[in-house]
Amino acid sequence: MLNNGYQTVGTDTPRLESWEKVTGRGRYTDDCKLPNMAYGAILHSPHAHARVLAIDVQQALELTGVIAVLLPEEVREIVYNSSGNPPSDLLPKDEHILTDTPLFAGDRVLAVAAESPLLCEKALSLIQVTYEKLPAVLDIAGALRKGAAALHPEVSPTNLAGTVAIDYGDVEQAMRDADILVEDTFYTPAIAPVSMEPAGCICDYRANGEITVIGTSQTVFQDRRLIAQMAQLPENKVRVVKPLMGGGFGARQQLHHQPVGVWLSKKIGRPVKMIFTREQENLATTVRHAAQIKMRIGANRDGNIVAVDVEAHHDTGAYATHGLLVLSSQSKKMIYHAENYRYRGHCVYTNNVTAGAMRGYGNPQLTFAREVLMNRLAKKLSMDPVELRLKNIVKTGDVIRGTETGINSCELRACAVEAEKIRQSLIRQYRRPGEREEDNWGVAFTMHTTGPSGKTGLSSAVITVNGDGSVHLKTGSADIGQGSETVFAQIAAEILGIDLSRITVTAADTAVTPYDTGTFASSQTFVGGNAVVLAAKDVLKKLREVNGEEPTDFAAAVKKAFRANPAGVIIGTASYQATDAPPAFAVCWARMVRDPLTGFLETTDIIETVDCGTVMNRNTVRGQIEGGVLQGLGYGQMEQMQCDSRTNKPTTSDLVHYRIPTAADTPHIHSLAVQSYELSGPLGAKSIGELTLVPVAAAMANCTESITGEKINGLPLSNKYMVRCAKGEDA
Amino acid sequence: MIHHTFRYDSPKTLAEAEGLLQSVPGSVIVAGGTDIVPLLKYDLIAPPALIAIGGIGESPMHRIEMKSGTLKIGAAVTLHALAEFARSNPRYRALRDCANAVASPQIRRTGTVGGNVLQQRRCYYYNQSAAWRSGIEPCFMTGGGICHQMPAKKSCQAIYYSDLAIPLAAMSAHANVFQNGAIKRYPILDCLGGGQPVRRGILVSFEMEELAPRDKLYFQKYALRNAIDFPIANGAVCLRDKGLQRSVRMFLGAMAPSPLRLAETEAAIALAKDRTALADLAITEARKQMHPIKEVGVPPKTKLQGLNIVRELLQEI
Repeated sequence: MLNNGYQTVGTDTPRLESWEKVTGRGRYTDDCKLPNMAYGAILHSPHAHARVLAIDVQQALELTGVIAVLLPEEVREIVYNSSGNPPSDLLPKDEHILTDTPLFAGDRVLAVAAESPLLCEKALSLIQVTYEKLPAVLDIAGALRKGAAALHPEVSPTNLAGTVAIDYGDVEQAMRDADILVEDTFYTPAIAPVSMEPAGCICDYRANGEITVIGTSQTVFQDRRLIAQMAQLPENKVRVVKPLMGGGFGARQQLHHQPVGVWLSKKIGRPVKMIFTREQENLATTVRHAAQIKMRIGANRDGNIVAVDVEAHHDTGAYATHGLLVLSSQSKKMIYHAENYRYRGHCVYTNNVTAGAMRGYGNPQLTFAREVLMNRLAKKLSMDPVELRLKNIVKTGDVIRGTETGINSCELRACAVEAEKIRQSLIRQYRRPGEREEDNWGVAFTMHTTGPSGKTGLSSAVITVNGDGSVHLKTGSADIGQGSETVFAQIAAEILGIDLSRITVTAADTAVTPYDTGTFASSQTFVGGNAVVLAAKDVLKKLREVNGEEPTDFAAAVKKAFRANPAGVIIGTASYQATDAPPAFAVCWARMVRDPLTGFLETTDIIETVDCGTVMNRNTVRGQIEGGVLQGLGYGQMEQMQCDSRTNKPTTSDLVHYRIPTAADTPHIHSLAVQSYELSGPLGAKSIGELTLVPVAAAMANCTESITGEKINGLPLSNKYMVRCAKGEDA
Repeated sequence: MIHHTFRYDSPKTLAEAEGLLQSVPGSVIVAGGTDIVPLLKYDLIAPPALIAIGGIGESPMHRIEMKSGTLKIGAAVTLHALAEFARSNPRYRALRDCANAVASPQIRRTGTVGGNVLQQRRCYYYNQSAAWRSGIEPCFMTGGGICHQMPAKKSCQAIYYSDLAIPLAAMSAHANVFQNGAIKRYPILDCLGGGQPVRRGILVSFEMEELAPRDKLYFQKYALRNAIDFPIANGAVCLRDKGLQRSVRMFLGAMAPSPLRLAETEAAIALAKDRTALADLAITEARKQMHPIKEVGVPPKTKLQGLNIVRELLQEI
């Protein structure tokens, strides 16, 4: 990993917040408390589809310490889309704060406020709800079957919430003319984001008509807009604050229980804290869309791809949330250039747990299907799978289908070369006489945009300069654990030429920090970082204007500005509107072995090389790759939301039943960032956040096909094989 | 969150503990708590009192002893301590493998040998929160009259997943239970999952014949993860070689409400059949006895692949 000669950028700088986190002094949502605060809890539907016939709250209200119950009829008029995206026609409003027609097992029926979390639980257990169970549809085919009852007739007369379409050329003709055709249908499961910190909020609706929400959020300004709209208040009357956060992975890019908390608070006239349990986190927030993807690739004998046809169906669960935007984003991830490209993405309502934004935003599903088919195409063509990919891969100057801007930087070939070097050294290490070590490997290529592909990224920064030359950086961008505040400080330090210790960052508080679209789409370094670059340059410009000279020593220049006549307080401000969403790239190899005695598969190594532009912080990039690889491994190997056919209830309610890889399941991870520079990026940076998980499952699937000779059309692999990670001593 | 209140006693002697157990009907013994606390949080048990045995003074329940050809493992010994014992006694490597296969390092430093053997059977309809279970009819384990796994069955079909019980059963261990002021001996298979004998007393230790130099004990566990997970399959085989007198005991776990003993395979091992034939026989025998239920993330095909565990076990012989 190279740092392009920067002083602060590209170093191993530890996170600014590390000390407070590791010493337990950091304040997460559950550490916050407001005066006279009460607690709230939600009664979730135990049925996948039902109608509430009666609610008896008498016993609960008689319990000392129970303050109030909020019922669906009290908030019936408010209909919204919970997505934390900027407004879009692709975000149908179909969700209520509480409902008396629950559409999934986990839907919000009512809420209680009490003096303690325990009293809330007791109150919920005393409330009698009489349900009429209704037929539930739990798969895409069932939901689209003729005659299936529409979950949201106000949005669509069927369970098809909408379709995203892209067309280039004549796909059917090109397929007929192609020498070779590969096609298949692939299935990927819904999976849970599993942030270590469950969703939490403290909501305070004061009598003067002002609302404060302190909570887990990736998009404080979108949350503010949504809550203001729901409460019919101007945005200046709503404040959303994000304390430290233990992960988001997309799930915090939408409202979960915040509206319930706000209206409970309004009802009782006191602040209300609500912290989800792990069960609520798994079953009543959002998951990655389960997908069914039918794909065809047509190619000539020389390996040139002539046509790609994708028909995707995504299970959005009970509510649309991000569903159509996820499909829109997925449609723009065709990494191989094809003259003829057709994409159809269908967003389908079912009575499953609601799907929403999750790391990858449609890309992991598509990459799995595409990369498995690419390997099969290579086999049909008797070509090396990497050679086939490199022959068709987009290059600098190309425009990815569905997008408008040409690629500025693409070092995929370098990623492939570096990955192969690592692989060859491992092959030498692992090779045993009489065994074909090469069969134990599977490859996948991928890309992920930097910032929203719809170019809705907008951020701003304010840098206030103190008399001693230290600075205070304010940004609306939310650090959810990925380390963006540290990277912003590094950028400001680099531009201003000061030490990192001279910078304090305040972020993601709508009352004191300037607007940022939100932490999603791997955009923080790029969109927020560009705003910081511009704000820092604005500081230097203002110093120049006040002092009448180029600042060479920052502290001395500041001192001079403060003493100048007329003196000047230096405040740098800037906003940045993304005009581009430059793709970052990755090449991933997975190594698995099969036990000859038992037939069991073991994952031993994952190689991932990335082109993320300038490496801003080596620790962070390494961490993103390792974390992404593990999340990708979970997707490939073991993770899935599972629903019981007898009860129509999801069974993956806790972290015993919902398996994510543990530290003991970590294969050897070999990571490398190749040298790259993105012209539109802050100091040459692109994204790293989502990219890293995307290709892993596909590489593992290709590896498994190579080892077993069987087609892998679905994830996770554990549905078909006994598969695990190589075990260390005393795991 | 634990929703109900209970008395918490910390007796200093076994007699005091037994007195408390008898004086408060429905009270529950707690050692490491790693099995009990999740049951409390999920409202699956609501005992009026917890009797913590950690404070009981010098007692065989806290020790591992090898004396006069007998191995005694105290019920309150942590899984970590058992692994450490086996580390320094290589003959018991299988016990180390087994103890280290349970849960995670943190849990093994708290969870005990007794707790692992006495753990309740599990089922995904049962091991859920009260809120989750609220929409479905109570099952045999929650006061109802149905097994959601197999509605035609007249009893609960939940599976017993203990890792440690399997090698202990293979070693013909007995449980020493403190009852009415004295130690009584029961076969371990009568005590699994908190069977009758331990409901009437306090489990003190497991006792078994020491492994002689030519004896062998093997253990294997398959799970989808290397930590936390309950087994898809686990198994143990113990060969005792006393010259002319040789004996074999082989058990498989995580397949049925109680461990499966593969008696036909044991007999075939004694006849020294080849390993492939033995493994095929063991799998056939296990398939006849197993009662698979629906498990999260473990489809029937994967569960059946888990039977290949016998191939590895028999490879060791």
